[in-house]
Amino acid sequence: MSGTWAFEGRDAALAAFDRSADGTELAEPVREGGPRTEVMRSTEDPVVAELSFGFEDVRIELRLHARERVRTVSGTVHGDFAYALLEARRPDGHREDVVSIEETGDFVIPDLRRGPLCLTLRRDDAPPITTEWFIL
Amino acid sequence: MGAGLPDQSHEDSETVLSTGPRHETPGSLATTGRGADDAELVRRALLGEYPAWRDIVDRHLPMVNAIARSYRLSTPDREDVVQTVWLTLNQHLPRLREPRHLKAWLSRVTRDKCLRQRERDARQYPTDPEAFAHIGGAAPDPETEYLRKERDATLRRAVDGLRDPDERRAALRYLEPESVPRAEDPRVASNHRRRMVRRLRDSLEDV
Repeated sequence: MSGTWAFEGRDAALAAFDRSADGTELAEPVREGGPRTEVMRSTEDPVVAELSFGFEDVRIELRLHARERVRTVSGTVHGDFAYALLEARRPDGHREDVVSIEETGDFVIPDLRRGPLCLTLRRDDAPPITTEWFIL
Repeated sequence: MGAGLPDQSHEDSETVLSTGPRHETPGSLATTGRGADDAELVRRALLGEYPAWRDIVDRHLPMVNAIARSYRLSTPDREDVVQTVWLTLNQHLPRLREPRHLKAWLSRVTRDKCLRQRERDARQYPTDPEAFAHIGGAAPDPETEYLRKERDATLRRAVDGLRDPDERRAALRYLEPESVPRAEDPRVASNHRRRMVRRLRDSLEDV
């Protein structure tokens, strides 16, 4: 296999190496598909994908919204916790945003740019859980 | 992830933890892992050996790129997919059950991510609204659609109010032909339908 494109993306691939999170619990994808629900309000950005991640009794359901170049992640965290934060991270380690989870488990992370993203759920009395990387 | 800056003091060391991107060409690689099999490279990468990770990337990146290109994604999407494949491998490195099957794992993950991205693109492909102007008349306006749903809900409530299971089935067959299997005897079905329509009319008059 050869070609000038064969090693495209090499810098990004090399930069992915990071062993600092090996001890973190990983929430793996359970489902991904198109939007199952109708958009009821025109003010809401269209949902382009729904996916969910699971680890033991915790399930993180995400809806990915897109409007032009702006992305929004909304969703619900199901699990047993009193208080939790959700942290959005980029491949370069940049922490894009931190939002608190409402009592209902709902959350919204607005105004994101496209590209790979992962979420880390930090609960009050349990180790953090990180989702597998997904493309926004 | 991968946030740590390259540690200059370890530049010549075999073991570099949490390193950032290196701007070198594959031709200038150290040959530390050239002969090692994938399982050995995975084992060493798990110990934090950056050169082992670099050798994994250089061994399999052309395959990952070739698969990604075969899906004919846009360039930004393809770049996102390829980067996400390596981020995902980094996450799964401690969890790989068969490190010697790394190539197959990468192939499967790349195809899966390309497929998902292509499906998602299909749902968000930008479209000029003017392109649909000529078919606009055929689409129901929101008010008509709302009234249709309200009528359907009322009918469904009326059907739920039917006590006879046969009549309920016949009503459902009338309203949603696909949801109920056909009756064996067409005459029985016809009688049920007549009775059901009469009762539905009565129910709707009461609503």
